[in-house]
Amino acid sequence: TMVEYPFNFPELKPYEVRLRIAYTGLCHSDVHTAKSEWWDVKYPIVPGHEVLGIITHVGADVQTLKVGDRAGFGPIRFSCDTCNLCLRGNTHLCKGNVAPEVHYLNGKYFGGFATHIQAPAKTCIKIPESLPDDRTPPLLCAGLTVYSPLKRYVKAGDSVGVIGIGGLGHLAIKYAKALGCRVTAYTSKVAEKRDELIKMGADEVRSSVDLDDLKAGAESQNFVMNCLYTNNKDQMNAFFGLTERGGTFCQLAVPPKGEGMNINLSRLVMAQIQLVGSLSGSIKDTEEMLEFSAKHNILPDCE
Amino acid sequence: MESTLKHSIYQHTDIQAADAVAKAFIDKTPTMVEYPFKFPELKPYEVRLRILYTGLCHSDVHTVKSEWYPAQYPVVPGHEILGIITHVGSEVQNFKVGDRAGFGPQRFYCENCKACKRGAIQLCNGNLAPETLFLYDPYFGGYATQIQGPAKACVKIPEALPNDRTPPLLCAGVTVYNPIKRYVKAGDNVGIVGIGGLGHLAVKYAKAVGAHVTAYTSKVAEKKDELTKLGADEVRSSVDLEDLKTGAGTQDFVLTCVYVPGTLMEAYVNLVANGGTYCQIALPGHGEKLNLDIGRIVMGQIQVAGSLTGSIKDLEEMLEFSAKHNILPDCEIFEWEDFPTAFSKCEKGTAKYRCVVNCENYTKKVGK
Repeated sequence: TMVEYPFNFPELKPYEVRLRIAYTGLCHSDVHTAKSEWWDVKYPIVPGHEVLGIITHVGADVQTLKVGDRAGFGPIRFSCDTCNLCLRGNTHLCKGNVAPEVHYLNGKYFGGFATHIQAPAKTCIKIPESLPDDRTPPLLCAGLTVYSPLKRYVKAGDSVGVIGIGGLGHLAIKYAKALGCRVTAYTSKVAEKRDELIKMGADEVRSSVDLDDLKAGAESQNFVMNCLYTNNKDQMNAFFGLTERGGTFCQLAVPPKGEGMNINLSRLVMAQIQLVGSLSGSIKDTEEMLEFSAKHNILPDCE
Repeated sequence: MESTLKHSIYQHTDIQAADAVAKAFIDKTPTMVEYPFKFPELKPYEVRLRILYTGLCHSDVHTVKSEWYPAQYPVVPGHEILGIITHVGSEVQNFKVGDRAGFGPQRFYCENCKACKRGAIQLCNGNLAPETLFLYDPYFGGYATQIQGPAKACVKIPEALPNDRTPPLLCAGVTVYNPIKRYVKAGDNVGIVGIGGLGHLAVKYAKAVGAHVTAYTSKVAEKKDELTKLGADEVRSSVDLEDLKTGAGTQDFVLTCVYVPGTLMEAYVNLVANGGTYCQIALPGHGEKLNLDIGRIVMGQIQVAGSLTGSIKDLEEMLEFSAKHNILPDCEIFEWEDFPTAFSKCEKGTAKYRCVVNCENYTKKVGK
């Protein structure tokens, strides 16, 4: 149940900034969270982690941002900067004890479904000038979530399969093309969406639900990016089967808690395949993604 | 009995007329026999080696017992081979008679498929007929006094490496070196699960690249001192589920050198820290599944990977690294006459830590 909720912020902490929000993106994770599908939420909860706005208040210790700057927040709220993961640059995977802070924007603190947000400056990102107010917010989560693994795993000339062309998938097509890859879009509605996906940059459009067609495409992709979650085991195995020898299968969509996937271990070894997860990215990854998006004019198609 | 001794490529003959003698398996018991034979004519792209020392790998056991697929008997396994080149085909440029060289598990590769073009020739899936990807079945492998095979799968042995302990590097060595090279950085916490032929070398390589190494073994009390001497910083149980759970998320890289079905495998995957990698190298029987908690894989940004031997280039690099860091397998050396004992130890997994047969003495004795 959604209600209008006027509120006062607590006192601004020395390491925080406050943004007046210009545009805010909605992500499916917000739905899972608000419906307590991933964990039991303490209501009232304000989700939203694709936030763009103007800085209105700056804490005493903040050096990197000033009032009037155009900035944004993605899914990450805080990192300890001292644990093994932070020291390796994976601040988004931080396992440090950060209490009373939290790692993610959603949950204990209010997120982006609001007129203003107050949060740590170290996870606040300056927005490159050439990016527009209205279409940039989804880059801060969806863009980052697909750009990060593409950057980590693909080279120009690779064949990339993107499964599930929604908020994540459609951006993945654009980034993969910009990185010089040959892109196959896998969708549940081939006939209906073919033209639209080709226009977006897909070199080929195939079915994500036709098991025979998926099997016919076995070992055809060097990098498979799965933006879907399905509990249909045959379908997941068919997705996994798209990965060529020495290739990587990347799972992005987070399933309901405790769901498993059975993979063929012999295949994993004999074909030397990597099955990997990816989770958003660090602040540094976000900055790089925004620069890349500005340079290649990559923006999400928004309503 | 006659029918299981006949082979499509090699001519079974008496020892006087033979080019070489092999230890061949004629059924899946498996029954080992002495098998003198003649090679077919040397192909222009082949070399022949007189084998000095030959290593035994557990994959040999799986193959000759038809555990992975029905083997074509008589089968001569063995893919950890060190010897001297005695014949060189007319098109061979990179080897000459007298060179000390070796073969690992690979026999051939197409050079044209995607995997080959990326340098991962061990993943070649081109059409190779009449050649084969792996060294043996139907071709004869290293349980013999000589081997004949394509020069492009043959590798020169660096001078500093000894004859007797180098053969297992050509399979076990490269199989663990490759993923360690791909995934481990100095300062990483590395867990090696299963300390046998593969695992004990993995401990040595992981230490040499500057990792903090935990050895996971089924016999902690018994093997603690020995594994600490090998280089392990810590020794933990690979079978105590409670202890494995307390170690969850502690390793940046886990290399699993055993296959055990069920919940133990899942516990090994859970040893991996956020942002880390789980790598499986031990091959299960066909079709075994690993159950993965996908939520954890995504939220923890975990990589779950397989690894399969390596390319010729990887072999060469591994041999140089081994020579430089003085990394050799701990071996039990047997004479040719004790081949059955060596094979039995390999089959039971009781070798400390690899079995190697000295073929040189026997070859001299029979004048081959």
